[in-house]
Amino acid sequence: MTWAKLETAAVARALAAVAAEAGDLAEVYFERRVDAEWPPSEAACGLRLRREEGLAVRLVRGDRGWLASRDAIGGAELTSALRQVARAQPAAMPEPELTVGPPPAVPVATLRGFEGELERAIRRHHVAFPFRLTTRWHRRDLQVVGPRWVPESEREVFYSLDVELPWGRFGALATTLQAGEAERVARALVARFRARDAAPPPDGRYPLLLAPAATAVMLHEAVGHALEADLMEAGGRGAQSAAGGAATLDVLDDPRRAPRGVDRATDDEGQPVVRRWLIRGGIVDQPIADALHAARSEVLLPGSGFRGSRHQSPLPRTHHLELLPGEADLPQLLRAADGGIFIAELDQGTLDPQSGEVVLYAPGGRYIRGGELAESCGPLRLRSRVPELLAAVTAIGADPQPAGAGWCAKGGQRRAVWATAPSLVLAAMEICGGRSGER
Amino acid sequence: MSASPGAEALLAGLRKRGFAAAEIFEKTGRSRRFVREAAPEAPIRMTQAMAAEQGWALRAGDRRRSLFFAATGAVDPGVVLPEPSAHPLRLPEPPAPALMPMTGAGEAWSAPADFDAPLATESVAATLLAAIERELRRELPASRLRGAWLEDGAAESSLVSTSGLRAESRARASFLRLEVEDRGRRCLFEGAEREVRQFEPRSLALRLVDRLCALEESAGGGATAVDATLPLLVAAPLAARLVQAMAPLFLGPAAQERIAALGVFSPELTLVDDGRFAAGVLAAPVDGEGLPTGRALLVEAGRFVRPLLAWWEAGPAAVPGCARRASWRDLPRRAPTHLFVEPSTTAVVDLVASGGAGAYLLDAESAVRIDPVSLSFEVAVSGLHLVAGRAVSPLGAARLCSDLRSLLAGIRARGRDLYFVPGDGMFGAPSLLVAGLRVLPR
Repeated sequence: MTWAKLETAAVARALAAVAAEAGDLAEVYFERRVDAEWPPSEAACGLRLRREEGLAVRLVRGDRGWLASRDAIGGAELTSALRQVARAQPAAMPEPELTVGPPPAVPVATLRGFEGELERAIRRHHVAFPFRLTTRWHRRDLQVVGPRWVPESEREVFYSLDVELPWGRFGALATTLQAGEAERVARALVARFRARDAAPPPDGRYPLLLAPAATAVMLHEAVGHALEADLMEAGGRGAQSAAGGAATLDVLDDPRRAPRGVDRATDDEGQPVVRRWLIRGGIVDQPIADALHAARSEVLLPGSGFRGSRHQSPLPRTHHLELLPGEADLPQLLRAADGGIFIAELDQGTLDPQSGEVVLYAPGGRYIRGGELAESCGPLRLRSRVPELLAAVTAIGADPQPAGAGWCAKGGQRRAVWATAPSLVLAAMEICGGRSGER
Repeated sequence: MSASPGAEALLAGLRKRGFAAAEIFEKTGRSRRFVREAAPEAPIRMTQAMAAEQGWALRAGDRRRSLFFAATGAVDPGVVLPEPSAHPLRLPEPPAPALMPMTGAGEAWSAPADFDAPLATESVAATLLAAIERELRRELPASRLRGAWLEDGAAESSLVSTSGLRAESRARASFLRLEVEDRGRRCLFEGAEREVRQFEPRSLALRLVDRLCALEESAGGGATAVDATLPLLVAAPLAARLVQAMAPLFLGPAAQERIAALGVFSPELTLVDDGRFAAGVLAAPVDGEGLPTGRALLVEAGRFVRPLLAWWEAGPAAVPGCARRASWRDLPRRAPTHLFVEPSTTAVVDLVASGGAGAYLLDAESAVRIDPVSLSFEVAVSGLHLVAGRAVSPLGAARLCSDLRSLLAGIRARGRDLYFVPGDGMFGAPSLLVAGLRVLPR
């Protein structure tokens, strides 16, 4: 049991006493996290286990907001945090009983065993190469209490992998670590191994065929971030940009349909999540909003307020993006991208919300010739703007796959984000070959 | 903050549980964060976050097995630990006193007075940000503060280990991020001080005004190139960003090989990492493993001396501690603290007047983008054309392009205005007169 005893009714009453003015937005956020990490075999220290618990109280009144957070869950901590956001010393405030349950069991055997499974999966491809694998398990339990509502407790449980290779890094998220996952990772690593000496493609314009995992990253940057209410409000051109997208594009954000283990019924503000049509038929429909932005708008819906931890304020964020599949099968996609490059994964992506510029980094790819995958090419960088990128979608595959889109660090708040996406083809896109990073 | 009774009890208990080596690290901290948002056609919004953090971590094991455990709250002497894994553990030993004078690491250290300054209140933060905006508008009436992020924090930590290390440390830091705009031109400032009151609104605003004006396109439209045969005067904030970008070259055992491939450095280059740099934001008597900090000379007058190494990389050599714990959740890792190019005694105005520079580059207007293979780099910059030591026109949207080899070899002179920028550590440099760099239109 995560929460041995949380007197949520008493917490709600205490919060209501603080959030006493009309229009106040307030919640208490209880968080418990466990992260376990199995390091590479030659690491200087072994199994790493981190347990943390704490709470935060937030009050937003008009154009001002206060957040008080603590690294413990208890009546005294809650009371002191409530007093801090109230900026007053109210009369005696009863301390609700708040106790967390025993720590959850950590799947150490799964963490320990995955490296061996991955090695065996790589060997089945008849290759061998050195790699350093770090396997992590993450569990986050949270309970939000509002002044007038108490949603169900939420939990996210998933794994993350970080592989260091002599020719770069590979990262992945997964909700389970079974043999299928080892094979999926092995395929990606073997592809990188085989392309390790491949020359980057010459700079120029190429059609690109993005595999589902690459599509997920592209969508996260070009649609997810571009349609977040805070970035749009700050003068971003996401909405206007995305409105010029391909008429065949239907993109949703639906946390409830995220892979089992990370699916959510409510967000980190305790608001029910919604099946949100971000782009319908190429037109922006419902941007991503948290309670704060929804309260100030007649059209925005809450339900997408997520935070990196109790010490941070919720922000409008995507949790699980979906691109509705098209009808193209693989041969059709390859023909549509003939003369171009197939990209299985993207390492990283960024969006400049002001200019709408999207930059996507691929560790490599394979040329497409005569409707077939040909030789490998080295790393490349795609730089475009949201409207051009979305308007360039010329074909969408019928092969949607759920996957982790990766770690998103918006506003310095690191969160795992998810997607279900098919392959897609982008018409001639300007790319630059080579590796470059920002420091 | 000394080690808690819980930590002492747990350390003793770990020995009884069969762990030959163990270390317990405790940390408490308080911080206040103020975020000011000013979206177009919306009222200014201010959010204040007040965090009280407490956590601890242990490393325990021997030559065959080990584990790391971290948790919030106070140390629990009866904590149930998982089985350690088959990874060997090495913990640092207290340094031999005879070796410590070699690095200056053994010298007495007392916390600077500003460590005791109270955390910023809401009114202090609001006053600072309002003053910056007022000064900005005094110079550029159409300008505005689009966003601001001010964080002020204090922390105390302690460490005890079975090898006999006992250490205590304190930290105090403020971080300020400003986004300003003037008629479509935008600048970002990021800086760190020990406490909020050390940020000076007038000088911050004037620097931002200079940058905004320097980004103005010339009458003909578009930026103009600078004569490539002339050296460039790189102002300290931009030079510090370049030091940050090249820092990874100087870290770890593989640095020797990387540096050898870079060829000859300018005799004007002296590069230092100093964990107890007196005026530094991260100054501390010990590092994240309780080892004394000190000054590590990496490059001396153009001669490569040594890379920045942690004790586990340096072997028996006497090295100042340079292991950083980002928080109680994190294991220590080798990282620079105050990595900087030594300044000279020359005033910047003399560099401008006598250097023969073709342009004065004020600051970085983007992250420095480096190709890790060729070590070529590119960064958007703001700056001014110089003719005979006088600024004659803004550069407009320009970029500085070169490679680290040319940068390190091309330093002709240094100013005395050492300036630090925050990153993964603090990175510093004075203004530099450098030959061999190119400025091109963006």
